[in-house]
Amino acid sequence: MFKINTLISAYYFAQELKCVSKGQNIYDSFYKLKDSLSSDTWSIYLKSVSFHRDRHYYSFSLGYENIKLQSKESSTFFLKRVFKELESCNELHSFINLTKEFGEELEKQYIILLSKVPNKNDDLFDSYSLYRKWLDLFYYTHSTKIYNFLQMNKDYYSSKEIHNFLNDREFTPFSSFNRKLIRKMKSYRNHAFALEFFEIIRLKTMELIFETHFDMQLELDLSNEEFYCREKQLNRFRFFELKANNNFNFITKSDGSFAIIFKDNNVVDVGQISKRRIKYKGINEKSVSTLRISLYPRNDKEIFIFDSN
Amino acid sequence: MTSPFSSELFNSEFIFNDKRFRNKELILSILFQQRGVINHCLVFSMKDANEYLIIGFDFLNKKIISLEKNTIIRILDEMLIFTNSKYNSLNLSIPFLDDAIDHFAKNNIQAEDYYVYKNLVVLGSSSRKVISCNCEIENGGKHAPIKSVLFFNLSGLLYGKAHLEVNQSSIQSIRKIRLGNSTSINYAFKNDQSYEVNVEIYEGLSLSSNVYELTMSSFAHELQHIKTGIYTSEGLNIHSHINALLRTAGFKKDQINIEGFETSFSPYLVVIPIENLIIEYGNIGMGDISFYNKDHLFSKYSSLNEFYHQESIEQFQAFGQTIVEADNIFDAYQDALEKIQSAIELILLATKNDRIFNGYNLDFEFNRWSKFNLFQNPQCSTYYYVENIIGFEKIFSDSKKNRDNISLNFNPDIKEELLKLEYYEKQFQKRLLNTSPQIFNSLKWLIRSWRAENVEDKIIYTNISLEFLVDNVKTEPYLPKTVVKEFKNDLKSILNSKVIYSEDIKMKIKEKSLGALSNPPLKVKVQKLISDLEVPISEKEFNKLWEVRSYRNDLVHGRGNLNIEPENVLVANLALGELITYQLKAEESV
Repeated sequence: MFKINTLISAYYFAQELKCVSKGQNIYDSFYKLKDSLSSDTWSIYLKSVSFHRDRHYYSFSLGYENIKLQSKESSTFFLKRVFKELESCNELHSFINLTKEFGEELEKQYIILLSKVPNKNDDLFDSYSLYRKWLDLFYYTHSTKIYNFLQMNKDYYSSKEIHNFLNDREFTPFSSFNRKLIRKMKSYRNHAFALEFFEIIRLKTMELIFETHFDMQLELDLSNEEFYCREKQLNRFRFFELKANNNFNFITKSDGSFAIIFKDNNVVDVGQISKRRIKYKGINEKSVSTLRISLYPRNDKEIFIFDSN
Repeated sequence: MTSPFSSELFNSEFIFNDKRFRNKELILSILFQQRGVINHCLVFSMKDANEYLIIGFDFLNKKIISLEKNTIIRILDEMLIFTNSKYNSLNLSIPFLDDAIDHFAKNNIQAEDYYVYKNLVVLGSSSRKVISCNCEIENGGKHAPIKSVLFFNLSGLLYGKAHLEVNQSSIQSIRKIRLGNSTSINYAFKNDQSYEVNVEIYEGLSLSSNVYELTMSSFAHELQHIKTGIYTSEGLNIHSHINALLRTAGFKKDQINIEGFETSFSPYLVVIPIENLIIEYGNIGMGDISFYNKDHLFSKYSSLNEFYHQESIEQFQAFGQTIVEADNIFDAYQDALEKIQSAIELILLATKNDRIFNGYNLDFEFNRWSKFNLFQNPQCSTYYYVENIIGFEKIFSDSKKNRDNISLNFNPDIKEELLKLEYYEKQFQKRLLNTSPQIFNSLKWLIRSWRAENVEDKIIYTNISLEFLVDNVKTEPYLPKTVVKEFKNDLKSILNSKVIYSEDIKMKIKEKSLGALSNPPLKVKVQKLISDLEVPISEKEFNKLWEVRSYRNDLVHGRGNLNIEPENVLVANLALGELITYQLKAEESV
C-alpha cells in the first residue's frame, strides 16, 4: 500500500530541511529566539504568528506587525510591555529578515516546480539530499495530473462563469463563502471545485513545510492506546475524530494547525485540525478532549482525472 | 505506369466478375525477370475459403492479365522455394504446391480461364504477354543478372534472388560484390522509365561453376530474428512505442522518422533494477539519483504495482530512480541509464580502493576496507520502468536484444571451404608451437571486436588488432635521409643560438621531434601492407576503416559525443579480416 501523497512528501521535505544548512540555521535561530524572550511574550507572539499561518514564512513578520498595531490601539499595559520586549529584541528582527528572504526563495522555487523540472539551485538546495526531496515533491505534485486537467479543459476556463468565480472568491480555498459561490453556479461546478482543490495543494504545501520546519505540527500515533478515533466521510471529504480520555491535551501539544497521523512509524495521513475541544464533565470525572481533523485525500495520484459531470 | 514495387498495389482494389473472388486480400507481389523479359504476378488469399488466386499484372498499362504456362511453372517453383526458406516471415504455407507444379507441367493451358488445382487458382492462357526490360544490380559495380525474382508484401521486400553468370569477363566484377556495400536493383523499360529498389544482400553462393546466386531481403526482415523481452505499457504515444520497440532492436534514432505526430518534451520518472546491490536500510542518494530497496520503492511509487512483473524482478533487491526530460520514453530510459550507471561507477570507485579515505582522513581513525569489495559487481539490469510525470505514459520492459539462432552450423560446405584454405592449418601449427608472429594477436582482438556488444568496445578492439597487424611492416623512410640530416643540423644550431634553450630543454626537444621524424605514421604502414599483399580493398572501404581509426582517437583522447556509424565498424572489421587472411597466406612460405 503506497503511503505517499503530495502533502506527505512536503512533510518529508521539511524534515530534511531542518537538518540542512540554511534550513537548519533558521531552525536553530527559532529556538534561540524562544530562549531569549520571556515565556509570556513568546506565547503571545506565537499566537499572533499562528493567525497568519497561511502566509507561511511571512507570518513571523506579520505576527510582529499585528502585535505592533494592537499595542498601539489597545490600552492594556500588558500588550505594550510585550511589544516593547519584542521591539528591543535584535534576534527577532534578524530572524524576521531571515524568514522573509527564505519565504520568498521558497515561493519562487515552488512556482518553478509547478512549471518545469527544478534545477539544483544553490541558494535554496545547498544539499543534494534536500534537492532529492524537492524532486519527490515535484513528482507527487504533478502526479495529480493537474496540468492534464487544465489543458483538457482550457475552453471551460475562459467561460464567464468561471471568470466571475475567480474574481469573487476568497483567498482561503473551500471557505464557506467560496462553497456558496460554487453552489450558485449554474454549470462548471466541477471545474470550480478542481480549482479550489488546486489552491489547497498549492497553499497547504507551503503551509505544511513552514509548520513542520518549526515543529508546529501535531504528531499522532494511532498505536497509542490513549486515543479513540473514528473516521467519517462527508461528501468527498474525510474527517478524523479523535477522543482522548486522559489529560492528553491537544491544545497545548501543538502550535500549528496540521496533524500528521502515524501508524507503526509510517505516515498514514495528513490533515488540518478543524476543531479542538475539551469537555469537563463534572467533579472528579476525567475530561475528554476532542479533536476533529479534516484529512487530505490519502491517494491524490491522478486526482484531477474525473468525469466532468 | 505504376511502379511494380509500390505498396500502392496492396491498397488497390482488384475486381473480378467471378463471385468466388470477391472477398480477397493481396498477400504477395512477385516480380520475375529472366533474359530481358519481366513478369509481374499477384497472389491473393481468399478470406472465406482456404484458396489462393494467382494472376498476372501488366504494370505498364495497369491491367490484369493472364499468365502463360511456363511462367506459371516458374513462379510456383519460386514460391515453393520462398515458403520453405527462412525469409518467409509471413509464415505462408501453401499445401500441395509441389504437386501443383507437376499438374500444371503436365496439362495444357489454352483458353483464358481460371485453372484450378486443389486450392490454387491460376488465371492462365496461351497468349504470351511480353514486357521487355533491362535489369542491373549495383554493388561495387554494375551486374546484369540472368535471372532475378523479388517477393514483396505490404511492408516491402521480403525476399529476392538473383543469378549472375560467371565467366571470364564477369568474374572480376562479381568479385567486387561486397557484404559491406549498399545494393540496389534497377529495372529499365523501353519508354525510358526505370524503377529502383534498395536491397540488402544476405547470402552469396555458387550454385554451379557458372552461376553465382545472391539472396536478398530488406533490413526490416532481420527483425524477425530479434526477440524483445517483456513489454507492458499503458497510454504510450506513438513516438514512445516505436522508439521503444525499434531502438531495442538496434535501430538508431535518426533512422526512425514518424510523420504527422508532434513530439513534446516531458519529465519522466525512470526506475531501473540494479543487479548485485543490496540496500539494507534507508536509501543511497547521488546527485538527483536515489537508490532504494524493494519495499521502500513500492511504497513510494504506487503505479509500479500494476506493472511489476513478478518473475523478472524477483531477483533484484535494489533499484535506481531518477527524473529526466525527454521527448519519448526510450530516450528517457537511455538518459537515465547513463546517469545511474555513472552514479554506480562512482560508488564502486570508493569501495574498490583501500586508500581513498585514508588519504583524506585527518583524524586518527582509519576507514575499513575489504578485499571482497574487489569482486562485488553491481550494475544496471536491462529492465526499466518509465512513467511520464505530466502525462499518462507508463511502460515496463526489457531492453535486452535477444537474437535467435546464434549457433554456427558447421555443415559440410564450411568444412569443404576450410579444407581449401590449407595455409590455415599450417599457420595454426606455428601458433601452437609459439613461433607465430603478431598475426594471432591481431586475430584475437579482431574476434573480440566481433563479439563485443558495445560499439565503443568494438572500436577499441578493432584498432588494437590493426596495430598488432602492422607492427612489423617495414616501410620506406618517411622522409629522405638527407632531409632529416639537414633538419637535425638546423635544429642544433637553433637550439644553441638562444639562451632560453637550456641543456635540459634541448634534450627534451630533440627527443620529441627527431624520433617522430623517422617513424612513419600508422596510415602509411597500413597502406604499404595493403599494396604489398595486393589486397583488393577499395578506396571507399579504406576511408571507412580510417574513420574507425579516428573514432578511436576521439575516444582515447576523451572527446565525447561521437557520431559513430556502425556501418563503418562493420566494413572496418571485414577489411581487417581480409588483411589478416592475406597476411596468413603470405606468411605460409616463411
